Amino acid sequence: MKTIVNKITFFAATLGFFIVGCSDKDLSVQPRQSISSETALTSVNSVDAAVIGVYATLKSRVLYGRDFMLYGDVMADNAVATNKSGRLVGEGRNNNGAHFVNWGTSYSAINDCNLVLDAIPKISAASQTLRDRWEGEMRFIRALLYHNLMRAYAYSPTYIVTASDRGGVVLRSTAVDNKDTAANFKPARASIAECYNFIINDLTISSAKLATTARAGAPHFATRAAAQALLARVQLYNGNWAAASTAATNALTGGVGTLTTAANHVAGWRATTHPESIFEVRFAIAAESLGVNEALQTSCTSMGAIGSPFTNGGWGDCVPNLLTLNALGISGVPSSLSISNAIALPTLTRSTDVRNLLYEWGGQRTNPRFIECTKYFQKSGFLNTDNVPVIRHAEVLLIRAEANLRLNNEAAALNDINTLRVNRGLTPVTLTGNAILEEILNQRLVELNMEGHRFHDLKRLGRDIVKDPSVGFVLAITDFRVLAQIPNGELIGNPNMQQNVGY
Amino acid sequence: MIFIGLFVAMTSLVAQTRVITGKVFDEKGAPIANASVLVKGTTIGTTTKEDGSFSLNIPASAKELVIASVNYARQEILITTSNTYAARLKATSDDLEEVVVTGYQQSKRKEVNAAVSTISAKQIQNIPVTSVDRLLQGRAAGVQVNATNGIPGGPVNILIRGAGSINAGNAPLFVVDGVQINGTTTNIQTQTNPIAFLNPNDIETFDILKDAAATSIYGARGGNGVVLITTKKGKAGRNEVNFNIQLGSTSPLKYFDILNISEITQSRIEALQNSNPRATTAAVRASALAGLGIAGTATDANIANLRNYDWQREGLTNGSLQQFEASLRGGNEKTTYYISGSYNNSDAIVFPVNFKRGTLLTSLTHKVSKKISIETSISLSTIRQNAPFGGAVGGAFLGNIAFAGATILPHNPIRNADGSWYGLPGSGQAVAGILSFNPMAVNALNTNKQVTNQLVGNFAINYEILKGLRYTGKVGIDYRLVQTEFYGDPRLDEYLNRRGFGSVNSDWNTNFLTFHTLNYSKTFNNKHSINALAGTEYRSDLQERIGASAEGFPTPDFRTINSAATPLSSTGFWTGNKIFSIFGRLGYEFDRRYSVIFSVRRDGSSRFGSNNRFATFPSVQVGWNVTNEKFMERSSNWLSNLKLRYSWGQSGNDQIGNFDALGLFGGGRQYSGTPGIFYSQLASPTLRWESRTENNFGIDLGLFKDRITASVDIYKRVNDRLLLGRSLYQTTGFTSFTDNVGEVINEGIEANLGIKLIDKTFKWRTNFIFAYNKNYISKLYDNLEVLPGNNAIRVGAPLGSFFVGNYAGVNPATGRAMWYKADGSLTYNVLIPADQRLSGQTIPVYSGGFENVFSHKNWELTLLFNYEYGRTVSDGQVNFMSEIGGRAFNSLREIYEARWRTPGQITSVPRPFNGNTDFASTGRFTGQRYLFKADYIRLRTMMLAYNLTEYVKKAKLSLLRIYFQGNNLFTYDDYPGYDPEFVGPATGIVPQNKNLTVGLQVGF
Repeated sequence: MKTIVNKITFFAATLGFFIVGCSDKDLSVQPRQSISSETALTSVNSVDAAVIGVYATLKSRVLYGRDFMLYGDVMADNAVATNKSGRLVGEGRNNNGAHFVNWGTSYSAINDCNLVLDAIPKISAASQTLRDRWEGEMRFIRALLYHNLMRAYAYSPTYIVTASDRGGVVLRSTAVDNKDTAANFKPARASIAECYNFIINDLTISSAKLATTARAGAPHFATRAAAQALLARVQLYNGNWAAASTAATNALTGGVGTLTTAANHVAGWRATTHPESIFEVRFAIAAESLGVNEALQTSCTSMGAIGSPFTNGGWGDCVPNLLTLNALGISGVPSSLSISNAIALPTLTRSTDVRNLLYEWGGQRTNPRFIECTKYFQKSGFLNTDNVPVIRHAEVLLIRAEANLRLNNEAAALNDINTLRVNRGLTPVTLTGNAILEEILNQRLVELNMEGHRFHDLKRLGRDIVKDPSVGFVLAITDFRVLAQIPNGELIGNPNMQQNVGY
Repeated sequence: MIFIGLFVAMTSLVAQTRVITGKVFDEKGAPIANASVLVKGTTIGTTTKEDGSFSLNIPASAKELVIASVNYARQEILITTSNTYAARLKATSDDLEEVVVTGYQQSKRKEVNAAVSTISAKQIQNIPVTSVDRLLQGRAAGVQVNATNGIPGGPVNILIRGAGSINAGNAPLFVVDGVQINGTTTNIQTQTNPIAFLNPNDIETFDILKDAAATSIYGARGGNGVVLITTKKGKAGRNEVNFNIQLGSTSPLKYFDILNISEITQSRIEALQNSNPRATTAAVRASALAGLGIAGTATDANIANLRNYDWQREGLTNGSLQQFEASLRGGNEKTTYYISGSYNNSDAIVFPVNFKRGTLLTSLTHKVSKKISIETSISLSTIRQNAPFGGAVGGAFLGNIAFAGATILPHNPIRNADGSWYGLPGSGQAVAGILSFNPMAVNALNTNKQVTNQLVGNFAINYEILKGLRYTGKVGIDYRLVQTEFYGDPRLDEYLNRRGFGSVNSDWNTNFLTFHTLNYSKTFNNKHSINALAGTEYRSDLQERIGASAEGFPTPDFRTINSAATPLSSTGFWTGNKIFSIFGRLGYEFDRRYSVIFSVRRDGSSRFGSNNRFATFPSVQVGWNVTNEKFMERSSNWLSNLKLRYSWGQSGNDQIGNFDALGLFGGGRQYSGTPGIFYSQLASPTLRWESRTENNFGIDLGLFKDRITASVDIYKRVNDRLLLGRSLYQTTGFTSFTDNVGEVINEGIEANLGIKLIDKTFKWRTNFIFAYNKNYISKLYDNLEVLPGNNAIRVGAPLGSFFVGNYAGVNPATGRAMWYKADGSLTYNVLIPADQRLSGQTIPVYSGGFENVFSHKNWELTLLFNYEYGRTVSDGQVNFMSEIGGRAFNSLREIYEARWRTPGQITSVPRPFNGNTDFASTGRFTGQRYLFKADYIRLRTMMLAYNLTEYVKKAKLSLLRIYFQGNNLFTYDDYPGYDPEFVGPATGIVPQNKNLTVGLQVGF
């Protein structure tokens, strides 16, 4: 016994001295669910995975997960916040600070784009086709992110409140990949024109690179048609009508998606992939859902199933108001917009416009009951999981109509308007002059409701936002609350940076 | 008291024995009871009776008797042919010989010059806390303990001498019998405190190393203080068998005074009218009633007749508390042991939260030879916890009945007449209001549990190489497996459409440690005494987790994920770190008057940048025992102790993520069925330790034979090179990287005053503990005054500050909340940060405790109060309950009654407003009105014990004690929420409870 213990003691003491000799190398522990940044973007597979990583950010709540589909409505004059869960109420009242918050997420994704763009020339193993595709995709997403930053934080070239113009946003075309570059970066805002030129340049190059190399899976991945469609939208905001019109035509003939008809319009919104989508953000599996509080489905509806107002589902925090319902041709809704759960459903009278079939009396999750929009109802096959159409044929058609009208080509404008009207169960109209513009805006209101456009339309046109009577005020388009607040931390210690007026 | 050595029974088999008798006295000739008398080298022994006498049956081979007793020096007596023996034991002064564990060795209290607090077993016995760290509350100066919530076994927030770090952790290091415990609270379905594995009654002492000189021997891990826990060990002598049963109940600290449905209706009508000024009264009433689920035709009288159900008292009820223990302790000259088992069942007051723990502690020491001894201690425990739905972890706090019970509309019934839950889907019943589900049903039908199995063990060898030179080698392991299960029942709204949801997780932590030390001590010429320690240590700490979730269950009876139709997610996680150290300590004392101790530790950690893996932490302590000076002899009649101490030291903080120094691309992103990666973290290759440098000056004083003792410490603690997430402008694509920037200072005073007020048959001993700590940020980086991204982190401000709008009350004309602008004018719109200001801090400035022990013959009463002052908190639940009609749920009566109603009314509560935020206004919960003073004095522990000494004699027991014990019985505060003590947002927390138990302790 004694000898054994003596041996153990000797062994332990020896071990102790071994430990004394422990070196730096022995102290290295490497993570297992991450890889070193030094070698991350050096292979074809890893660069491709980084490209996918950028697409994935588009699903975040502050981008296309929710905010860019609903804030444009709830902050405008066509929808109200129901205060069922308490979400979107501040945005619905245009409270100070209740606005888009896409700054950080967007710049993180922009840097991810830049990392890929910087890495492409170093990946010698990749074919030229693959490199072109990566570059086209990254420039497309970078342009989309930048344009949304401009929509939130700056004025559009077509309407600038000069006294409140603090410029566009911060432009970066090269990646930040180390802490020293990051710590020394003291950015300033570029002008509005510089920003639009940057975006247009990205989309122009993207269109060229994607002309022949888009990956399978459109509209869920970038294509030349998508780049042209986004270019049409950007040029509309930019006031370059001819360019907008040309890009719109390129997009419509780009071979991605088709306009739905009166017969299949509703079915289009029930399909997993919207047939009109030119670019769509895909939510593929249930685990990607933003959940019971923030997903588009729960934000828009409170029913357990479409046509089942006596079941419970989401919250229904954002609903259309009378302006929208009238434009949709729905009547029979009380001016308060809501009814008690306890009473029978009032009968709704509907016009022939098939788009109003996407609206119905909502569920009974928390009293009272509102008319809800069913554009997002687990299209991907899982609860609170919907693919998000970012840009689709109807919008591009209306962009072309508006651009042509501004180019004084009324016939072409009317032609596009009537194409849409006929495909939505309405009769063609014959209008002239300003009435055509109003009809275009009316069609945008009806067609793109709950897709996040109305606020930006009023802003780029310089029209005041007449809030729903239940909110009860008019937000002048010159009000500082029209622009979002740049995160406070961006200004601390950086004399180059300027906050928007009023914050 | 009479003791019979049960062990003696076995010796009766041995032939050739004889009976010897004897007496044990102290130096003054008074008998010593309860002293152990052992035949050397055997298990044959007994203990002395009340009169100091003993009688023992010894074998013929017996050579020597060993006689020992607490507070006396051991004595060995040669056995002669005589049958009677007398022993005279020398007293070892109680205080002088008090031993303190100082890290890798023990020291005598008098030789410690740094700031160390000790809590002994006697102070904490029989207090049925679920995690032993709560016992530190109010018992050690400068140790602030706050329960994060009332989950039994849940986490506790401990700050020793304030907080020194902005981003890195501020939690102290716990070391149990030399094994550093992994301090991470597991936080999956509910929270499990890493120290909850210990049964409090298995603890012999807590030694709390407070200043940097004391903690520098723990180097990089010691920067937030170190709590050394020593568990009970065996004792040579009689076998002690101890049974302890404790039964009682837990009950809520408070219920809220809330509104009835008539008042809620009124508040909703006002809120809707205020937010829709143009709507007609009739329309507003219709809308309000609709929102409350009341028929539009209902009159006020109808509404007043609606029944109000008491959801609070349905969900927050009294729970039971049981603790059963058995322990066995004994041994002989060669081998000693301590074995203890316990079972604790504590219900929280919140349905269905509870805590069940079984523990088993085995401790053995054995002398292999004169030079070699081995020791081992193994603690096994298993903990089962039911969690509230949604959890104290945040997230779906609406489901926690502690939140929902007070906020759900009270006219919603709880159950149907047949006992089934009201308002389940398919019943046609709808639960009205924002809380549109039945929170009792949610907690009853869902499964939400967490099981923790933990093993903490160590094995050590001591080898006395030469006289005075000893080698100790120890290996230890702290292994913890946490398994959780959640099942969302498809009978509930939330899980109806997905037909049930299930998720399981396993998380395990393997923390291995070994250290090897050489210890040398020697005294020369009776004047020079030296003590040297050198050692090396290695620790590796790995954590892994796997988990899976699924939805779509056939029926609610199927509750394991293998029966689900759709697998949702699978998760995997791995992290780890290694630390390697060498350390040494050298102490020298001259003539018991002057002492100096140097220590140094060099640590290398995998957590830090490749350029800065190693760092060195030195310390020095000097002490002067003034009372041992010749010139003090005259005052020795009244001044029994005077010691001056000074220490300086450095230690470090490495409580950051394991891989914070590395540049990383992370996975986990996916798009269109394809996995993606992204740049998740910038490299910080120069990252190194956060360092703590501290100066401490202390005085220890004893008056009138230590009838009055006092101890005061003054310190200044500087934490610099803080491990700070340095904010980046988001336009870089990153939000921060971890860097060594910034400095935080803590300055304070700690005082301890103990007085034996009455010391006769009736005894009254009192101990007052006081600590003052001033904490402030003294430096950031790049000359910044404010940390970008967090306006409350600013130079000159304490950590945990609030930086909020400056509330100016309600405009009497309109009822709208107003704030002061920076220029003093009034506004409805607070500018951030221009109009904000510092308003209080979450870390208390003053804290401490007040302990009173009364004893009279067989009675003993202990009252421990603890207090905190200078703390401000924001309470999420109170905020929700201050909405008074902003949404359809219940509110506090006090706020409702103070609300603005008519022009000209002066009040601080703004008008009700649907959706809460008034037109073009800052949110109403902005500003100091929603910050509350969390100062309190709490009767933390009350213990009344009675020793049945008469019966003990008759029944030949060693101990029989009955006790009544209560925790949190009384609180003096002015706090509107559940509990002023919690840390965190308080929304949907499980509040703390009070408990009252009666116990019976029997010793054989």
